[in-house]
Amino acid sequence: MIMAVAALLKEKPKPTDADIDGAITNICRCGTFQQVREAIHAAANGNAKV
Amino acid sequence: MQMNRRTFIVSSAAVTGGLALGLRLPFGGPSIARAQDGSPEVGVWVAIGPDDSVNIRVVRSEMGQGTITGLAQLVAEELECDWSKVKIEYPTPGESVKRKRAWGDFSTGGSRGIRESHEYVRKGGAAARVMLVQAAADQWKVPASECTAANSVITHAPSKRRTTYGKVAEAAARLPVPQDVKLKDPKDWKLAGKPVKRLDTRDKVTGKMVYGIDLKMPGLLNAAIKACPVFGGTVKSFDAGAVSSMQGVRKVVQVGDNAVAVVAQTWWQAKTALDKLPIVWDEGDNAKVSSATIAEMLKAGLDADQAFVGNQNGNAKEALAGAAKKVEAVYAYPFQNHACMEPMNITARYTPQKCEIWGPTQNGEAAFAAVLDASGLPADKVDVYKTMLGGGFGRRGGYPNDYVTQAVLIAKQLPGTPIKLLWSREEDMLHGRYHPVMQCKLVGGLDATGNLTGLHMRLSGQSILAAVRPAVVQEQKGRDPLSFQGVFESGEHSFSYTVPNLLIDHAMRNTHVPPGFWRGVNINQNAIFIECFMDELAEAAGQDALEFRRKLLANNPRGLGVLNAAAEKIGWGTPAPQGVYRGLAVLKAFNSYVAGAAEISVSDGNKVKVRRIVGATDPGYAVNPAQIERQVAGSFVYGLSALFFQECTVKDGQIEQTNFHDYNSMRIAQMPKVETVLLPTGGTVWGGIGEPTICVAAPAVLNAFYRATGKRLRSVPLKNHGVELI
Repeated sequence: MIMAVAALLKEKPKPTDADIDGAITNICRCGTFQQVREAIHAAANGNAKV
Repeated sequence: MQMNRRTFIVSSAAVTGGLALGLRLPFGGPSIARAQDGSPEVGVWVAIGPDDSVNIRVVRSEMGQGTITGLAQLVAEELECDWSKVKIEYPTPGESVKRKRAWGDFSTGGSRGIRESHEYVRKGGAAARVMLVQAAADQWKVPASECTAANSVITHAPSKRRTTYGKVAEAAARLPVPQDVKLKDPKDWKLAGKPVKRLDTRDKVTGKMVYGIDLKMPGLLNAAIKACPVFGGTVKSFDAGAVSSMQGVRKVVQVGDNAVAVVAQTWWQAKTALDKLPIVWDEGDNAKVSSATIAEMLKAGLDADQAFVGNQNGNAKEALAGAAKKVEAVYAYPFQNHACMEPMNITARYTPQKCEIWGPTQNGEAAFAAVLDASGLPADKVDVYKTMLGGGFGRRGGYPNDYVTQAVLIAKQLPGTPIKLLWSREEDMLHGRYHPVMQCKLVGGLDATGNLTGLHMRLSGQSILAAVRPAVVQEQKGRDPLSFQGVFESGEHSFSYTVPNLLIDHAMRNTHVPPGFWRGVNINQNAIFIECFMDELAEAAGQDALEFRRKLLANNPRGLGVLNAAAEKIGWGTPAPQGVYRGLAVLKAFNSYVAGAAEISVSDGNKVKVRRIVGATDPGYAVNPAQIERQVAGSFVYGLSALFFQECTVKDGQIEQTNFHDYNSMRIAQMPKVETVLLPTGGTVWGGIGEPTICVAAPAVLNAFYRATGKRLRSVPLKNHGVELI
């Protein structure tokens, strides 16, 4: 999923939620989708902090 | 080949799981137990370094549920240490045996990790603080009562002296461990109860974290395995010669009586050869079993005379016979596989002097026992090093450790060589420990004014404990009490409602498909059965679904509390947007009271969009509210994936589903934000987090579906009804 996100951000540096829906089709059995979505926006906006 | 621990550490970089502790190092004194880095133990739960680093010991497993961070918070809270200096250490089961089980239970399941550990780990933190303060007080020759501790700093205000934990740790380690320590009131928590960042996230996000599937060691060989796809079947013969000269293949071995493995240089070489290996199975009589034969057996149980009672009150049969209005429905729930993202895997190395395994397990002690058994070696020659789990959900718990046994049996056939056994996804799908299959007939009686006067809930289907803990079933005279989770007569899974004439019973119908603890265990089906039927009853009574329930929850204020919270959050009682429909559910499980509310829309009669979903939980106490929110959200993804997509069907005695193409799971586009309401109402009993909420999303969605379409969907998965999730 991280690789898919990296590829998405390379192509679309500021993806919308719809962009994320379309590009990130990975399965997540732990279901952290909401956090992933927020993290993608944070990374896109340069606010990423681990 | 010779491999010692040092080589392993050097070659496998950041394996953070299970490095052995309590090594006697040559410095610092003969009788002090020490951590791997030499820090002295101050009681068994904490080791403090001279640089003030704080090593907190955790023996429960981490599978993404966040338990290790929560446990560390609880220890650190009482310890009064600098949280930024906290690291976690994982005593191994071998170390635990040597130290007479000093850290207690390793098993991580039943949503127990925090609620069953909290008291003793907090005491461990408190005891260490007392010892550190005493050591400082001794040095200063002042009463300990005049000293305070905060953030790893000890202060004696009257003389304006201060020191740090690191400076007094060696002295503190020599003091007796106080047995009686007072714990803080959770109201006074400064660290526990706060949404602090997890301790394992950074390494997981940066790829530094080593999972079992990632392990590399010098000289390691890879193994792929196939066990007889019909449960209970055995190996009749196999032709090793057909594949032994294929590229990279080192050995072809039988494993136990039911499996064959290929060991090769790379896993892909092993898998490729295994796929070409001719194997003849003795499938046995179970090859005749199918989902249809199982369903027939379960259906008969719905009306059988004999059943085990899990809850009863008054005389349900009489009340139903005389009811002004009767409602009856039959529901069904399938076998399901855990489908952990990381398939089953264990790396094992055996010599007659030592057998060690590395890999993911929810229960280090159970894995240890399996290694003892399979290796034949005594406890002081065996150990287990846990890695972080790529999902557990109950598959990697104390039962059955089949993959552990297999790895050791293969390693025994190549002594001295580390063998990494990794199941393919197909093998993982075919050899699960399945969510039990169940049908349920519910009959409810209403009086003329729409009051519920009687209810009979007859479960018919598989018992988990009959296979996994037969001693419990025997002790209960044949009954499996866990079959009644969420509707039981008492305890951590008790029934939410007060019904004057009640009978909840279970006609046990076991199959050859091995059952296991799938997240939530029996609450997934029981919540659908009871909460969907409650909606059916409410409708027959001409009442609002929430009002109907409220009356029956009069003796359950905490259940009422979460249900009201979920209802309020979804906007129950206010008009929903056009084309949007709502549903509710409530249950008690693992000592937590949980409720769910959903808003969905349905297009073309069958395309479901989940627009909003609310989870409310009252677990008594909340150690990390942020983590709880994530667990609630994650549980909804797991539960809704099961509802819409997941079943394991049986044909010719085998499971038919082999990968995610026929066992689907939700994607990000399909999942709305989960709105969480956390209501920790305190009390004497702590509730669990990992599982309880998993069961309320499905009935909430199903109840909303009825309102949207007029159709009651009474069996899972919904794809079988032509329903799509968009």
